[in-house]
Amino acid sequence: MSVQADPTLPAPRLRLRQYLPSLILLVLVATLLTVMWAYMPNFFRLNNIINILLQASILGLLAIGMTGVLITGGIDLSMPANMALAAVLGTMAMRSTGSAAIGPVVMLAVGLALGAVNAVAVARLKMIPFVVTLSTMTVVSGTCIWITNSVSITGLPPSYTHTLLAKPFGIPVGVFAMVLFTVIASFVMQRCVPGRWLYTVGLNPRAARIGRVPVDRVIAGAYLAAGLMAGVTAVLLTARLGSASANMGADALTLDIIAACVVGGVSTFGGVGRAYGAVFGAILITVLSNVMNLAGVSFYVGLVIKGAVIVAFVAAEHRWRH
Amino acid sequence: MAVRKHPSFRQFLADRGFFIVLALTFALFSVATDNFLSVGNVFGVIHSMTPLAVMSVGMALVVMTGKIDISVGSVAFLSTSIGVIAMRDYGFGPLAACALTLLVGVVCGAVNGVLVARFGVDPLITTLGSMIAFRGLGLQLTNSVMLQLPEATRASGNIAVGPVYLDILFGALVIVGFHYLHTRRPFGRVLTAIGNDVVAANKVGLPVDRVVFQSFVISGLMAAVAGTMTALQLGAVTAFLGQGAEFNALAVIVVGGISLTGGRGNLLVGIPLGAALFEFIRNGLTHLGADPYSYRLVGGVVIFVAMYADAIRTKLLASRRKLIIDG
Repeated sequence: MSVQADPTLPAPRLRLRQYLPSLILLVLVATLLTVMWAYMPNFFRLNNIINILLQASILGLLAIGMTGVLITGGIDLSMPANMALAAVLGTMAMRSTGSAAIGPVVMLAVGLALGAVNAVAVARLKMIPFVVTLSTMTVVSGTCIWITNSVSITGLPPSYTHTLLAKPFGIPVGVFAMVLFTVIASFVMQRCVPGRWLYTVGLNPRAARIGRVPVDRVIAGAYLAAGLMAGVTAVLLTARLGSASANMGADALTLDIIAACVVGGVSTFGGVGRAYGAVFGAILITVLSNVMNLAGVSFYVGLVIKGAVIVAFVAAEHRWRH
Repeated sequence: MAVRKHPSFRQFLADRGFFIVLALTFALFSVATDNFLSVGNVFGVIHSMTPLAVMSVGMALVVMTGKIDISVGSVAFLSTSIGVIAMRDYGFGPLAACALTLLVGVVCGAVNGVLVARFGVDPLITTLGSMIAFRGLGLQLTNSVMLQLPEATRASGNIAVGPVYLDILFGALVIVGFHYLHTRRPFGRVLTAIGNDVVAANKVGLPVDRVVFQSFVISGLMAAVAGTMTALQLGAVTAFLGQGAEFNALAVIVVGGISLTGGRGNLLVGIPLGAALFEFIRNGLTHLGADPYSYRLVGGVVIFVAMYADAIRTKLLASRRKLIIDG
């Protein structure tokens, strides 16, 4: 039995418009992959693809955290700074105690605590998300530089790096983590009530409030999750770099995270987006960075191109949705 | 939420708290250090805050419409870089280079303005993208090395009449001019109307898109002016010129009582005092011999408190208008 179409909805045209951004994205990916294939035939070897995924995993994990915040209509600019502080404090804890187990615990705790600061400021004190996280970003990165004196902190316990750099079945732990968190985040956001509340809050906070959705708690949850993801990323990135430093939270990373989300179809106006889209966006941004490297584009021009890509995608999204 | 009949303590703090903080800071540093309270030092502080105040006043126009422009620091860097390169490599005179610098500022502002007003892109994302893109472009052009200004122009940033530096007078003139523009000209009134209610402004037929576009252009122009003033003061354009300036400008605006939700604030009072608070804190900490790395932390805390005050004010206003659905 077929479902009768609702005559009040102009369904077909809307559908095409909805899928246009994804189509453009596919064309872009195809172009990039062709360029890669032309420049470097080895690109499509399994080993290299796993490498790219490993590179993308840091960005992907941060993008998952950012997706939740963007869906509520907010933004978290402090994620890279939070990640850097978590990594620095965790590494210091490991160095002073000599125990590998304490590092991840401290990193996750610091990430959560900083996420809680954002959560309280946005959800309870009703401050503007962008400015709150801009100021936490400044305070946190300032603290980070202050603690480390801009020197990177080394001396990780061997068992820490050994465990996190392992490759079970030839696939690095970082890639496993990215897949795992993508699945968890997608499940929570698509199938669980709090996840659906997230979209409700983003689409129309007033309607959500009238519908007895605990708006403040949902928003707080999104910022907490972003803080947690910053902590998770800190654990993996510290292992990969073999040290922790204030530079881990560079401003350019913030741009990459937002680029990944926007390219992956997460709306900056809230209410729209999927976690796997953001991860896909992260992979695309990583490939794009690699292509630009390969083509000899300087880092600075690369920034210009990424900035332009973000703005173009948001402009396109706005046109197609309205 | 009921409207209280007598002004509450919270409201008093929200309205007047900023002046109390400024007075307390000033008093504290005057007592705690020897040289803070001297004519030379006070004018020196005002001298070094002037570029920031000029940049903030341009950005404040954008904030008045309820939008934001965080590319100002990068615009300052890109425009002054192009100006210096024009003098060094293409034989531009100082005045022509200055004009070129301002033109670049206008063009950068126009790019932001077109994207926001014409294409409807979220202003935060637009200016975040252009912030990074403009700085990338500037770093590419300058190879991220420091460019010295020519000998002849180098001293002009620090000309003083008695204890009063010339750029303090210029900055004061700019702020008074913008205050006039904001309170007495149709352009300024439309800005405020957009910030208060963009839908209503559209319905009564105000030229919303055009005015938003113009506000971004002015913001870019003032960023270039501020960049020029900084470069003249320092005698060089470094790769760090204007880095983090968007944050400082935003802090000045918020601390100065100009609401980030748009439509409320007084440029004449807010901008100079907001800028003064930050510079006095920084200067006072230097006199106290504090760790330079701690400035960012203290500044961050101050802006956080100022934003909280802004949030309270917005909430009080909204409850008066009965717009909030109590949760």
